[in-house]
Amino acid sequence: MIPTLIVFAYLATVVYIGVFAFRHGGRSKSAEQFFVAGRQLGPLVFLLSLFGTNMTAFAILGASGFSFQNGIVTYGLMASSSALVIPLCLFLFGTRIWALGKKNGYLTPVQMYRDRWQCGDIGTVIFIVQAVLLVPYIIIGVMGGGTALAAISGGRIPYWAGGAVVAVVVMSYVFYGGMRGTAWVNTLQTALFLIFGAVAFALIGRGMGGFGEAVASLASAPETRALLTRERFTPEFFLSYTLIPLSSITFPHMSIFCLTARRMAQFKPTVMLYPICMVAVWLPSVFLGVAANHARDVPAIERKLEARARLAQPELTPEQRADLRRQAGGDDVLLVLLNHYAPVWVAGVLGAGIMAAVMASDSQILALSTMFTEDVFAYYGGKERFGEAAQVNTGRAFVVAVTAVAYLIALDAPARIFDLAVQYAFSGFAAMTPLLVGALYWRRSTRWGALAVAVWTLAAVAAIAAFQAFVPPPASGQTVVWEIGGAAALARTPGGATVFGYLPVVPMTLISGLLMWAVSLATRPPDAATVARFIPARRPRR
Amino acid sequence: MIDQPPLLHPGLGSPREVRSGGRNLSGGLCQPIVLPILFLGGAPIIHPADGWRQARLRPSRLPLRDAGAVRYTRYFTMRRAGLTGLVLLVYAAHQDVWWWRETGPMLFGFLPPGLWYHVGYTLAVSALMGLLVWRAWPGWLEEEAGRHAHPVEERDA
Repeated sequence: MIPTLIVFAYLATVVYIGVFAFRHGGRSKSAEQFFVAGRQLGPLVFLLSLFGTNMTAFAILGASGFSFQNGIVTYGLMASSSALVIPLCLFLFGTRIWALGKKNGYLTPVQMYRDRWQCGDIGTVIFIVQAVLLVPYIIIGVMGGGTALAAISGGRIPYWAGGAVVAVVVMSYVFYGGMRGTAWVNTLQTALFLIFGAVAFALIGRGMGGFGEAVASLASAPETRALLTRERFTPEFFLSYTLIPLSSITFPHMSIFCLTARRMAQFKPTVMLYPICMVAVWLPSVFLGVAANHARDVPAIERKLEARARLAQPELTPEQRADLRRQAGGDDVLLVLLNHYAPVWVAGVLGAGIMAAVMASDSQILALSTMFTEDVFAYYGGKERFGEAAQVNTGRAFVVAVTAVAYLIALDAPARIFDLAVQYAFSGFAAMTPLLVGALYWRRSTRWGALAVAVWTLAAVAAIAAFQAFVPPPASGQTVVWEIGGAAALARTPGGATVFGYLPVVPMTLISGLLMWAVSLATRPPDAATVARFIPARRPRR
Repeated sequence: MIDQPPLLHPGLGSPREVRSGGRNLSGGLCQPIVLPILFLGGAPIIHPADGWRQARLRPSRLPLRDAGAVRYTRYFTMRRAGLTGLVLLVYAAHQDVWWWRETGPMLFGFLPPGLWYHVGYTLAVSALMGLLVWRAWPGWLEEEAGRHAHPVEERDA
C-alpha cells in the first residue's frame, strides 16, 4: 500500500508541475510558447529532458523484460548502438534542424520539408505517415503505465485502471504546460530514473546475496548459460539493430525537441553526455533482468520460469502458447524484484522512478498535437480564420483526443511492449532517415524522392504487420516463407520476421535511401535559391 | 576555439592572412607553428564543397599565398576524413563477434564479456563525441541562424 501511495504522490507532483508551467508561460496564446517553449530551454533542462524524452517504458521495463528472456545481448542490441547513433544524429541533424528552425520559425519537421521541397500536399502525406507511426509509441507509454501501476500495487490496481491513471496524468500536464511543462516534468523524471538505476542495482544485489553467486549459478546451468552470451541471436540480427536508433532523430518529438534549445551550443553537453546516461539507465535494467532468472525464491519469478519451461513443449495449441508467452513475459520483472528485495518505502520511491520512465510518452502526445495544429490546422487556413489562440486550444483538444484513443488501443494491445515498439514505430522511423539526409545534406533531393520515401515506409510497415498477422509464429526457430537459392529470403520468427536473416529495418532503410536517390535523380531538380537557404554553397565569411 | 574557417578560394586570401589579421604569414617557418596550434585549438572541418575541390589543386603551381590556403584546406579535408574514418571504425567495433559464445572472463566477478565490452564501448563513444564536438563543431550554423533569426514572440505576462 505504501509504495502505491508514494507513486500517487509523485503523480500529483508532476500534475502540479504542469499547472506551474501553465502559470509561467504556458498560459500564453502564442503557438511558439506552447509547442516549443519559446525556444528558450536552458542547457540542463535541454539535456535531461531530451534524454528523458527518448527513454520510455521501452528502456526501463522493455529492456529488463527482454533481457530476462534473452540475456545480456539486450545491452549490445539497443543500448550501445543507441549510444553511438543517437548523439551522432543529434550532432549531424539536430544542430541543423535547430538552426533552420531558429532562422525560419519552424515548429515541426513537416514545415521544414514543405519549405525545403516546396511541397504542400506531399508534406501532408509525410505528416500522415509520421502520425500513423507515432501512435504505437504513445500506446507503449500507456501500456507501460498500466503494467507498472499494477505491479507496484501488487495487483490491487488492475492494468486497465493503471493505464487510465497514467493517461489522465500525462494528458493533464501536457494540456496545461505544453512543451515547457513537458520539459520540466521530463527533467524531474530523468533525474529520478538516473538515480533509480543505481539504487535498484545496489538494493537488489544485496538482497540476492551478491551478483557473483547469481551469475556463477546462471553460467553453470545449461538452460541459463546462454543468457550470459549472445548465442541465441545471429550477428546479422545484432547488426540489424544498429539501424533502429536512426529512428530517434526522425521521430517528430525528437525533431521538435531540437527546436527548443536557447542556443545551439546546448547540444554540446547533450551529445557528449548522452552515452554516459545510457550506461546509467540501461546497465542496471539489463543486468537486473538477467539476474532475475536466478531469483527463484520470488514466487512471481518462479511462475514465469515455469511458464517458460512449458513453452518449450511441442504439443501446445496456439492459444495455449500465447497464454504461456504472456505469463512468461518479463516486462514487470524489475518491479517484482524491487517489491521482494527492497524495503517497502524504498520500493515506493523506486516505483515512482519507474513511473517516471514509463510516462515519457508525454512528448509524443505533444508532438502529435503540434503536428496536427501546425501541419494541418494552420496550414489549411485555420490559424488565419480563427486566430492563434484557437490554434493553441485546438492543440489542447487534440492532446485529449490522442490520449483517449491511445488508451483504448492499449487496453487490447496483444504484443509485449518491446516488440510493439521495435516492429512498427522504430523500424518505420528509421526508414524515414533518408528524408532528413536529403533535406539537410543533398542539394539534388526532390519532393518526389521524399514522397517515394514516405509511401514506401508506410507500405513496408503495413506489409510487415500483415505478414505477421497472417503467418503464425513458430514455437522456436523460424518458418521460411520464401527461399532464394537455398537462403531464407523471408522468414517468420517467434518475435517477428527476417529478410535474408536481417530484421526488416535493414531492407526498409536501404530501399528507402535508394528510392530517395533514384527518384530524385529522375525528376526535376529543386529551385536553386530554395536549396541555398537550406544547404549554403559555402560557409559565410567571418 | 575558432568557430569557423574562412573561405578558401584562390585569390580570396589564405587562412593565415585571415587569422593573422591581414598580415601575410606565408613562408616555411610559420606553417609548422600555425597548423599545430590550429589543430590543437579545434578549428572545425572545412565545407566539403570547398574542401574536395581545393584538395585537387597542387600547391606547387599556385602563388605562395594560395598554396598556403590549399595546404590548409587539405589539412582540414584530411582531418574530416580522419574523423569520419574513426566514426566508422567505432561503428564496426560494435560487432564484437569474437566472444559471441563466451561467458568469461568476468569483470568484477559478475559482468560477462558481452556486457562489459559494450559498457566500455559506450564510454568510448562518449569520448568520441567529445572529440567531434571539440574538433568538428559547426559553430557557423549558430552564427548564421542568429543573423537571420525568425523573431521570437514575446511571452505573455
